[in-house]
Amino acid sequence: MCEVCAIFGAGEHWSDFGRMRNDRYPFEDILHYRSERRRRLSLVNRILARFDLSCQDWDGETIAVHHVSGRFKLAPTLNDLWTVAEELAGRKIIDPLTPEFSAAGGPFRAEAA
Amino acid sequence: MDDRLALTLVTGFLGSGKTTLIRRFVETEEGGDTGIIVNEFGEEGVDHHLLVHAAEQVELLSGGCLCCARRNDVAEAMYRLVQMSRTGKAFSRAILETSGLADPAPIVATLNRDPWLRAHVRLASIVAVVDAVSILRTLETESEAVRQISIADTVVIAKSDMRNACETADIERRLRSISPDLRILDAQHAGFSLSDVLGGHGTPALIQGEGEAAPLPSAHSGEVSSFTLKIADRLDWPGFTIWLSALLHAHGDKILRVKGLLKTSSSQTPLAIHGVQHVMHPPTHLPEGNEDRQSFLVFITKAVEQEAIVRSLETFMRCKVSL
Repeated sequence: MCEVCAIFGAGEHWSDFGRMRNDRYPFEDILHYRSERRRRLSLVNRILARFDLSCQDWDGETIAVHHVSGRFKLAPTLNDLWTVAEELAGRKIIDPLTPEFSAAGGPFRAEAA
Repeated sequence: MDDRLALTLVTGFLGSGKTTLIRRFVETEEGGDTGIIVNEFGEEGVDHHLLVHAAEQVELLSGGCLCCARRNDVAEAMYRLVQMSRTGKAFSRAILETSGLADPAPIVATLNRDPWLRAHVRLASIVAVVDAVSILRTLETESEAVRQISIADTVVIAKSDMRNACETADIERRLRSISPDLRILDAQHAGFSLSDVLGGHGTPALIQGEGEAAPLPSAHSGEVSSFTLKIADRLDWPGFTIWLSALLHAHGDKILRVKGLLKTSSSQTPLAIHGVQHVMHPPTHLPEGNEDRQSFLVFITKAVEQEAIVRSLETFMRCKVSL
């Protein structure tokens, strides 16, 4: 965490390295990370909605996955998110090779690089 | 500059010649300052002052998938090696010799998942050593051997000088039917360099330089198949990471390797991506001048239909994919 602005970093998961980082001036990297994270979670919610699940970002550091019953679990990374979603759903639900998953995809709002 | 400890993972069946190869390297001037991790029940034969034994300690993570199992033995041995390097026994690189039947994937997963290891260790190369006498027979009967080849970026053919060794061309053809872009080296060849293979200089990302423009041919080897998907469009990166991470979550045990060069919404130049089963390495950015490179994805899979992946990618990403 930056001690001046209290903003957390730009993520360490492989999916957070889509943009070339500027180690000297990281602020734009952090803004880009948070913007992509918002878009990513919005798309994840489209996928999870049919399973009575939703997810929320906890300050850019972890993801809270909620079931309509009120149960929720935390998922630190995108990888953990799928496991946690299936634990809350009580069954295997995440499979991109199924039509249900694929249909929840684009169109995407492409950002300028 | 990456100053993490470079780790080369050496795999191969019992008797393949991997121990001999490692021993030859550490006896050279360059190899003398190499830290080595061997499995406690592995082959005898490497006598080295920087040797650490790893006991067999495998911890299954929740989900129970063996390829994701945390190798506590490997993690602990790596901690010890890095600590050794800080207490005066300086060394330049590390080699981890897996036991003959070990699946390298959990080791890759452990190195990737552990934040401390990620910060201190860089996986330079996964090398599979094969025995020219028996490898063709072994690949027919041992699925673990096929898996080791699929995950490796480099294969060293040992013992090709033996009287009953198979023809090197036949071995290469068989290996490329599993993994088309494998780097294949013959240890008996005059130009063979131990330093090149075990020196820790490489990266497993495997997008090899400017010359690689042509997509790889499809190949099949029993249940294992490899294919290349060409992608015309610039991909939305957040969307793509969701698709790929979910695909590896659901089918990572059957997707032995994925790698590619992708033009994305998040970067001016293409990204090189590389993953082994459930584990994706952080992508690397190609330098300027590569903006016109063709995007492609290579999959090496076991019992996953190519058509299913193409259909899913096209539908989810709203992109055009060709073979």
